[in-house]
Amino acid sequence: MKRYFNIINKFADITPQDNDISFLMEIEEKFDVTFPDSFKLFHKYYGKNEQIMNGYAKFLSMEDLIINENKDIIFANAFKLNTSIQLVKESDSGDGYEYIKYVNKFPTIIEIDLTKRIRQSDGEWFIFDEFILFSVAYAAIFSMECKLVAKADDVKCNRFRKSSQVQKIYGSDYTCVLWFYFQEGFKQGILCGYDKYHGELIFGLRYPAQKINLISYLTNIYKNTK
Amino acid sequence: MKKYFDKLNSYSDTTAEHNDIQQLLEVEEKYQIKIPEVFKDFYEYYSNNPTIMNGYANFYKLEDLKILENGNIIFADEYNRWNSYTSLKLDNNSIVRINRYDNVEDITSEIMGIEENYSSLFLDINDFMLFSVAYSTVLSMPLKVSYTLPMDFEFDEIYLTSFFDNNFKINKIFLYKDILCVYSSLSETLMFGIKTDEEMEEVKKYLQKLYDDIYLKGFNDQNVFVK
Repeated sequence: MKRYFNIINKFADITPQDNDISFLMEIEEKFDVTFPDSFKLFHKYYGKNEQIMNGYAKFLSMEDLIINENKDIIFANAFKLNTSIQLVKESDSGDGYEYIKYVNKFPTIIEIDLTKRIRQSDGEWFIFDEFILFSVAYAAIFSMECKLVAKADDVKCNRFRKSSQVQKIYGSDYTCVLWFYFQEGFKQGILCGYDKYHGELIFGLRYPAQKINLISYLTNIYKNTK
Repeated sequence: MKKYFDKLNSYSDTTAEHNDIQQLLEVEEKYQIKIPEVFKDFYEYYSNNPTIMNGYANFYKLEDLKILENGNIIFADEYNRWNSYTSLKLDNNSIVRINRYDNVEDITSEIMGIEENYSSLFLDINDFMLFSVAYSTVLSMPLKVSYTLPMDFEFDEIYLTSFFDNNFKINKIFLYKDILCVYSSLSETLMFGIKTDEEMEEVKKYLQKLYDDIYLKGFNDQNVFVK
């Protein structure tokens, strides 16, 4: 994961910090939990970076992490009503990945659904490493001179992602993903990400002039995607 | 508006604080503007109350308020379901939704030829501040029952009593048999603050009535959704 953090750092001129994360190790020992390496690196590099810690979500500082009796770790609050973000150690499929899950910040809220209709994807899980990398990229994109957002469903996202002009940095098909678009040398690329939770593509442009080409390219993709 | 704050406080035994709001008075003087009383009352009463300051929105601390050159005040990050980068700005007596980051452009309408309707928001300041306190008051109750209305379903206030003389249009505060209840049209969610098992039973009965009398009838009439 270090490699991918560094790609974003380099692209967006972010200087990683060298924070003391020994407190995380103390928590691991005290509560018998294990943090993913990417989580430790995140706090080491960005634990005191206000833009990243308050960017895609409001990340809790190491001292404010919440570990409940099931050893679930609440590590951030989402910018969504009553919603926290929890680290889940392993999916039911036992694929070995660590996941994140959006959970109710107030467990004593009883949600009644008389209609049995599912309205939103709060139950969806995302791969932890992708989420944490996306969070850094999100702050990087929104720190750039020009940023564009476009609503997109998974179909449009996949169509864009698989097009020839796009070079993937990291991510699977169905969670947060990152790419460079129109890469004409590292610094000339457009950093892109897909916020699957909100159904939105986000783009960080170094030069406003890149906007015309990007809009034209996206229009074509959207037009051919039903 | 203090009397309504006081009335809400009595439902959760919240003690109003008397925080120093000199900073807001200085903003008024410097920019020759009048900050709405409800905004000042809110900060005087609750600026050190984490439940309210992080309840319906992520309100900035007094020292973190962003004062713009025209005296407008960016005072909170919004919690919404569309994205994670909207903040709220006080503009005279209205609240306006803005992008937290400068120069963010939504190109959805340009590339899809449709209009997105979530980007603008104008709320009455009294509506928003009172609702924020009411919402947090409900959250502070021992039990909360939340009911999300079906999409495209117009909420009907039947069986509920308005908490105020005149309720607001967007966010509404009700009493149901003295049980505090908030309805946000933005999240289309009705939430009750419950203290006892008896109240829980009352709320369940109400929701069942809402479902039977209104929901099923309404949707069957429209042939949209049939049980």
